[in-house]
Amino acid sequence: MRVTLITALVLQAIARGHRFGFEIVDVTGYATGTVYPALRRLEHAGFVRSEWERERIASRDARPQRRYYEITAAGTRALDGALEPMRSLGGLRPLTPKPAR
Amino acid sequence: MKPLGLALRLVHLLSTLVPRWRRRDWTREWEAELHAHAEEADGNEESVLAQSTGAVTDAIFLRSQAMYWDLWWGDLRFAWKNAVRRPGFTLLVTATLALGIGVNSAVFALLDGVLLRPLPYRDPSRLVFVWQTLPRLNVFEVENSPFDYAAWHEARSLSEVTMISYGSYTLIGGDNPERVRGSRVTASLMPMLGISPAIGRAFTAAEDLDQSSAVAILGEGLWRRRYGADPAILGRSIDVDGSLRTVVGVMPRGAALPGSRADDELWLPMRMSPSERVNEIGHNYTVLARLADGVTLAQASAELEGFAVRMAAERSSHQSLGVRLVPVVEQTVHGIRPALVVAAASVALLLLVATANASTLLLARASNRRHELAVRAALGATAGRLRSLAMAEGLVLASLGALSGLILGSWTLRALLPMFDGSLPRSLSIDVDGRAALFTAALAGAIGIVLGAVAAYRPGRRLADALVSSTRSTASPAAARGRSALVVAQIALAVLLLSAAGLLISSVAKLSRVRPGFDPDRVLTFKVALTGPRYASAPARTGFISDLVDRLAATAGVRAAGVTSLIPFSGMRGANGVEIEGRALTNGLAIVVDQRHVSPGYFQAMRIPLVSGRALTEADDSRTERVTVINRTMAQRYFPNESPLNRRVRTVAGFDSEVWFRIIGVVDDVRHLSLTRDPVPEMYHPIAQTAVPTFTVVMRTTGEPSAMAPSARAVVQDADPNVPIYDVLTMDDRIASSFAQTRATMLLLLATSALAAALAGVAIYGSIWYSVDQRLPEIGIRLALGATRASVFAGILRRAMALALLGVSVGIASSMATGRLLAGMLFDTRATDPPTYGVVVAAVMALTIAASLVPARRAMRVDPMIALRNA
Repeated sequence: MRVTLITALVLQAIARGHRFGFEIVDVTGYATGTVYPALRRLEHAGFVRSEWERERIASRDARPQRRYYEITAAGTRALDGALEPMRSLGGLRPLTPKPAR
Repeated sequence: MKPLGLALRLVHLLSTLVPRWRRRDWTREWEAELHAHAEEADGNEESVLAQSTGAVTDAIFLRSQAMYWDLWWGDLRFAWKNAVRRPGFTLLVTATLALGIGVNSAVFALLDGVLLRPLPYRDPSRLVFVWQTLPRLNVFEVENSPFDYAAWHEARSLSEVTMISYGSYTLIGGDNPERVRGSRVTASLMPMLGISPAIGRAFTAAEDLDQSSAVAILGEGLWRRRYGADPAILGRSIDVDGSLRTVVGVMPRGAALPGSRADDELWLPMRMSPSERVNEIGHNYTVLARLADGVTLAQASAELEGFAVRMAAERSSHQSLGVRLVPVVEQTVHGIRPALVVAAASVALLLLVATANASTLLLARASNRRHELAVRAALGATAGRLRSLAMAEGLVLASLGALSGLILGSWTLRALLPMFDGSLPRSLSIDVDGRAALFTAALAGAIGIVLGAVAAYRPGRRLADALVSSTRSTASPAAARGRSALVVAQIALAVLLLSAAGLLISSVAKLSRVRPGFDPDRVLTFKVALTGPRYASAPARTGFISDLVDRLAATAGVRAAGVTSLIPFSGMRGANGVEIEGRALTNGLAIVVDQRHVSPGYFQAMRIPLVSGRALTEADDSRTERVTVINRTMAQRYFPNESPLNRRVRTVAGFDSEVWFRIIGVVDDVRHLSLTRDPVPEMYHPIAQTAVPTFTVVMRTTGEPSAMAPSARAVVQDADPNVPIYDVLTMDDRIASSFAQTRATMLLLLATSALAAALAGVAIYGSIWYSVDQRLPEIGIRLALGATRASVFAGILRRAMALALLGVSVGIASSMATGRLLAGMLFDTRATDPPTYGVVVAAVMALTIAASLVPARRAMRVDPMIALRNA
């Protein structure tokens, strides 16, 4: 699959340890309607895998069981590949407006 | 209701959109997500509602993803149902494709096993045979002497050098004596090849010398057959050629020496005596070496040629000897490669014919389905959807063809392998296996796409055209041209295959008519080896031979019997240098003459006519003067203007060298090596004067020769129960096996070309029938306007002949262009042989007329009234 900016950021968030959908939404700032389809595509491509948290933990905290995502080896490689052009550009920075002549 | 409750209701509602298999997980995931948002929001729960709209996007995303597969799955199911609903059509297409695919997977398995897979040795691409050469005599595969073997060790470009002496040995003990193939090898051989015994140990370097104790390693087959797979075989003594050897190992199944055409059953250590190790004259050893790292074949060849030049200058034994390196891979497959290439090309062409044929069938059906497709398009099916459906149909048909083809393929391979037996190296394993299945699957995929593209081809895309026109309208010219092109292509391919088959048939027929110089009809031959202490002396061997010949001649059903050291078509020459008394050597070199040792009755048994002088008699034995009979070629070549009788000759090397032989007679020529090679000079010595230990018995029988094999075996057993007979074959079989590969290729081409011709015939029939069907109204009008029925009939035939002529000319042109491929396999037949092409053209024309007769008659019998009414 093609790694877009959105999927790269979602993947990056997971790689940094934000494993629950809500956390990813929180840290990336994207809406759920953007994050979830991205997760589906990443999982379909084998870049992330998911597992359900232990029922014991969920019932202790009195909330529904959460689904946790985790980056795979293929995902790590894809992320590296996607970030490479950004690095060679010296990172992403907002463009400052040119001074008027 | 609270926003969270509302959001959860929405998620439950949306879950119906999600494919059933992931619905539960999806709902749970969104519940957890929304709960987390609700907790975080803490009072401002409207944001939860906003986040829950993401579930809508998510659910629709999953639905559309599933729909794509659902649709494709639905197309496949529809295509399958369609195939089942028209069993006749499906069966026809499947059978056509199965024919094409089946022979291809069989030939792929053969090709894969022989040419594509690496040989089962360690780094086989670096292994080379070292041959010596005699360029002056056009001999390029002379074996090495032990002296040379030692010399090659000095070469820096070879990292390992090993030596093999191929042979056969007699096993005595147990119920029956047996002659088995075996080889003496140096201890370095197995490590170099990367093979080792499955049980026990390999040979040690000490066992290269004759001071070591006598040991043997058994081949897996021999161990099973003769020793019942005895697990305690190690340490057991076996009798090999009359001396005892200790078994120290058993090779794994399938272990074989490079280049062996039969099973290697016995592996013996070299055990050379000090005098043999420095032998410069006896060129009886095959040398196998490994190129040093980073050295190319050319570099190694250059270094060894330098050695050869130096040795030729320094030693009289090495005058005019060169050297040549041949990669083991090359040596293993070069004999069979041309046959395999022709086989692969022929089955590939057959597959093209089959695919074209299936396409014709699909096209014909597609025009019947114009209505259906137009309606589908009108109801909103996009072009993409129609293409997807067509692809599904193509893939279903191709898969059916591939499955049946795979079964057909393993049958074909089973029929094919025995035909190539004897030319296939033993170190190969050949089967319709995973790789062949993968190849077949790839073929099916490619054919599926082609058929899909054909099925998707829709002449007359406009709905109105399709709906308004009745089923029997004239089809679009583009579609008609497409169908005709397919028919022409099939005829051309069939002609290509037929002419190749024709050329080979002509060659095989001419080969069968070549007279070998003796009468092979009703002759049984078998080999006998006299080994062990009992036959160590020449008189013991001579006594056994004359006793055996007498016993055989006295057996009921035997007309005559004789013995020869080398039977024709055995692949061996027994050449030696010869000097004629009173004649100076030309350039200091002897003439080369093949040597045979025969019993007096041999010429009579083989019916080789005497040309002049006298034949050998019982009186020519060890007590009388050494005599010899020469063949016509030798007499004509070396005694052109004089009688060779009473002249004396001697051999310059080997045993019996320096002994003068008086020429007492001349016999007619025999083609000894193969039917395609001209006779060479030969000398026949009385076996009573040089009692060779292994020889072939020939028996001319009154009835079927192979039926006499048990009696022959009994006679030998009666003479000595410890002497085995082996390699029992009729003379006809020996000759036939000398061109088995050409005949196998011919049979394969005959089969593929017959199938291709049959398919082309069906295509002509179908195409003409269809065009008559389309033209019925027109024919009706013609008849109504006064055309005669004969002219209608002739018109249809003309159309068929025009197609055929076009196909034939394309076919003949491509045969002429590709004839080179076959040239090496032809005998006395040019690749442009006019009679062959004449027959092929006549056959294809006859086929065309036969295939178009029925449709033409139908056209002739059209009732104008009915035709016009239906128009």
